[in-house]
Amino acid sequence: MTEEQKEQENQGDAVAAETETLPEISQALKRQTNEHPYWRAFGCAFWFVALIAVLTVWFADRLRDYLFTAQPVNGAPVLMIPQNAMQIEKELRNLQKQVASQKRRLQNLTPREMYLIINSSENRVTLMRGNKVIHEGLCSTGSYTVLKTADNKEKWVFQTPRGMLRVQNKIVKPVWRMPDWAFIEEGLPVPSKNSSERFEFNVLGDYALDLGRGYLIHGTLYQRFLGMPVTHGCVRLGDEELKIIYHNLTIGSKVFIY
Amino acid sequence: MKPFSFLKAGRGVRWFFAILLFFPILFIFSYIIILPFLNLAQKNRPVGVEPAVHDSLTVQSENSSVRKQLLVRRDLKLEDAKQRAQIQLTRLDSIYFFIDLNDSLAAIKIKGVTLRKSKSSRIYSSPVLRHLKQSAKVEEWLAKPLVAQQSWSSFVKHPFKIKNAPKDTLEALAMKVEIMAPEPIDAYCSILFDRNVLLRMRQIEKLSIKGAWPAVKYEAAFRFSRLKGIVNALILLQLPPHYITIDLTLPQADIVAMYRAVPYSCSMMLLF
Repeated sequence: MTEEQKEQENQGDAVAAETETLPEISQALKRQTNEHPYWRAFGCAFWFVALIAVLTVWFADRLRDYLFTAQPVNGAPVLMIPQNAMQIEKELRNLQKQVASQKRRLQNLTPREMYLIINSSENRVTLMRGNKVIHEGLCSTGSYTVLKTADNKEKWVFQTPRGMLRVQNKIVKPVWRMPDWAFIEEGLPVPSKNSSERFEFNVLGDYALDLGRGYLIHGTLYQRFLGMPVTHGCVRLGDEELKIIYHNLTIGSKVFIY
Repeated sequence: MKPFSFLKAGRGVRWFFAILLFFPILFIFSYIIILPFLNLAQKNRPVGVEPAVHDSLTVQSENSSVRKQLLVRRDLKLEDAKQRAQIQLTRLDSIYFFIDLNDSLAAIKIKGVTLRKSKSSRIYSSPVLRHLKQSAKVEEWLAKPLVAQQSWSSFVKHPFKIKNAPKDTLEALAMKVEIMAPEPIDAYCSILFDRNVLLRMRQIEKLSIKGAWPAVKYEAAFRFSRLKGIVNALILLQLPPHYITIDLTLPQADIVAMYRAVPYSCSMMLLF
């Protein structure tokens, strides 16, 4: 063999030694793990316990509920109450009176006169008397928009307030006195407070109900948007609903908005 | 390579594995399941009523009638407690939940006026309530409304949109978009009240493909919070709390309307 051939043969052996086949690698691993079974056991136990822990936390409340279901409700220690019949009867009479009076008080909370419920999630309005529905219809409520000026100095939130409000005033042929945001939103310069540009006629419908804090129930030119949240906080009604509600509610009537 | 092949290595390995499994699992079950159950069961031990020690003038028949009167008195006291809680809620200016498990009814009210109500098609309530109803503390429990502490939902509670004021009318015109009707959203929410009462509401309608990811995120956030609570309890060497779960299945629109109507720290009147 020439020296060149010998060198090639040695290189071939080295390459063969470096590249072991896959079955040989797995055999080597198997040998290694079989030599350290305790580590293997530790690893398996760790993952198994972790899985049990996650499942237990996930179903903890239900598992405890099953235990409560299995536990009987009766068969309990007895409470001894030192009473005589006269005392109990007197107490019963007082309790019955108290419960009846509270029941009447709770029943009287539902207004007997007309009131309005406005659903701002689905933009629906319901005129009620007691528990009876008098009229239902669509409305538009706040658009949940937050208008910010470029310098972030001013901010307006267009949301219809929730809770119980009362009708403060009833207006015929209302005129809209435009606030600053109405100009800022359109990219227009804001006029002075008493400028005639601030007053818009015939945009709020034939009637309006003032709920206080700048919020009104009024009509609209944009009837096609009824049922959608598009307003700047006020409640817009269609012509028919507005007429019915205006004529049925009085000053002081309750308006519930949710 | 078989996963449990190490068990063939010898008895010592098998015992080692068994001990590693047994003690942690025992600890987990005891700490998370058994001990809180025993603690809660002890606090809500049911009680009965029995007349006082008899004197020589008392006869057996009088004792049974006194027993009946005591039971009527207990019912009246519970009714009184519920009414007091409701009257307390009517003094608030905010909307509150009203859940009646006897009628499967979920409602929102303000000042005692029902704004919206919905019947649950499927209802699950923790059996702890059954035990609580028979315990001595039930009157005190019913007399005080529950107050929300934390909530999770698969939809936004307040869907605010930020709009930057346009510089001029041209930009304002360009910003105007066609107003679209709001899309239906998949509704799942949970509210945790004080005294560990958990109100969960899920929609009757099937989950949509679009709503799958928000629903997964919501459930993951809730479960993670639960896990955090257990870990915190472990660190403070306390028992993890048991949530008294009330699971309601309601129409999607009702869940969205009710959840958006109530404030973050809303109150709840629970009748059971």
